[in-house]
Amino acid sequence: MAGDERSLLDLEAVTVDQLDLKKLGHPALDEVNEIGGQRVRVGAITKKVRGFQGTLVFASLDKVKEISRTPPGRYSAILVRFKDEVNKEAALEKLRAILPECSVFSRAELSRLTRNYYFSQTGIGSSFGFSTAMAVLIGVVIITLTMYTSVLGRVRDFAVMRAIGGRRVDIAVVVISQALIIAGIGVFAGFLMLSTFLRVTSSSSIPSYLPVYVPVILAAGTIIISLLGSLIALRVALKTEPAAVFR
Amino acid sequence: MATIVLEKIARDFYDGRQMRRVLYPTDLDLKPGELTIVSGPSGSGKTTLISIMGLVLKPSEGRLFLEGKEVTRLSDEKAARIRLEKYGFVFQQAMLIEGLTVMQNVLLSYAIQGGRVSAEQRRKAMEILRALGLEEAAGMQPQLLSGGMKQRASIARALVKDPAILLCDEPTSSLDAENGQVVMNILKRIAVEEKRIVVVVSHDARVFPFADRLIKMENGKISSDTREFYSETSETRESRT
Repeated sequence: MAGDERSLLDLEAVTVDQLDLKKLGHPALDEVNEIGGQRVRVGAITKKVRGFQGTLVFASLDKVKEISRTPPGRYSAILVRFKDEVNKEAALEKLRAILPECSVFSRAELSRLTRNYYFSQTGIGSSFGFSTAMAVLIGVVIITLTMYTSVLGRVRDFAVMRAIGGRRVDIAVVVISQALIIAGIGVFAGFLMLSTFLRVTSSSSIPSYLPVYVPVILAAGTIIISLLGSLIALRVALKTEPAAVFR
Repeated sequence: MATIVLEKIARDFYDGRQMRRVLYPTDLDLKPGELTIVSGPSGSGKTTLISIMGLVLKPSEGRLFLEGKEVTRLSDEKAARIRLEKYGFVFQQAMLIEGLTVMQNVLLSYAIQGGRVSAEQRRKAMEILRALGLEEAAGMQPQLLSGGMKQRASIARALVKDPAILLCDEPTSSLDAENGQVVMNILKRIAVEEKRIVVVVSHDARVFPFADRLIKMENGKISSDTREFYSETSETRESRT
């Protein structure tokens, strides 16, 4: 952060994020500008405090009401922070009772509702879902083709293995191991690209965030895709007859 | 001591239009200590015969006995277990698995059902490779070997578990005369000195002098056999028991 965080208490000061500077015309620290006909001063420049959508400018509540010309006593949203010793559920219930015409949400509820809104009410959900479905489909098809080609090229080897005493389960172990090796390479390559992407974009205008559980889901998904992709190949391999070695 | 007895073994195949009999009811017995060569023109049924003997193909009719026990209609799993324990196979092509070294190919039958290969098994595999003149090739990839070396490696693979029965399908067909002689000498020694059942399917007349017993097949039937069917049949076995 550049500047002084105490500047947020200054009635004239606003805080902007460095990722939005270009959009705001590159205002310098302490530079005086105008928003909505109101005089403001850039009191601080934050790092990576960017809104999901649009450009956010932070200011004191009174300054925001002045800029947005909100009538006295009217608010769009109020953020309430409870003290540690407060029972949050009980407090939320009380707020709901006091403000029956308002929507009162906990942080988790608001987060879930926001995500649901963007996924179900905007194009993001369908676009992201379609892209993901296509990626999964392409992954399955590519792995299916790779595994199928590999197994076709190894039919003779599987017949030899069967002839010298291999059971169908032994053949299945070979094919599934191959699928898991492909999945392992895929996970490694994917994580390498992902970490590179996260590192490169960390200071760009595309801030990215990866919750810790996502890599686990990605790895599990990759393994499942690989196993799905190997099903046809597995079927071909298991149908290999040991008598084929004598033909 | 391993013996193989075939009683009225026959095999039909569906050729896409009709059932076709490729092996007519055949009686045959095989005993250790002799090299049996099964010969005949292409399509005479010799490969079908060896496939049934090797438990890789089930007969349509008849009964097959191994060491006195009927093994005609075993499950895939049981047949695989018996193949692993009692059989060794040498194929027309060496059929070594590329990507594995010669040693790994030889050790394959130890590892095939998930077993761990012990140092003793490695030592034994190396001994066999040495006996077959392949000591230097143990760490090599199969594609770097000559045809004769590959076939000797496949013999090593077949022998590593001391199988009582060694079945060889045209083992010299892809070899030149000199390498063919080497391979046949090895097979002869294995049969006679190590007292194993060794059956070689071949239409190459050059290998006939190695035979202790020569069986000729034509049109799915045995047309000549240098030794008569002498073994006990199921009737005699039942009467004995």
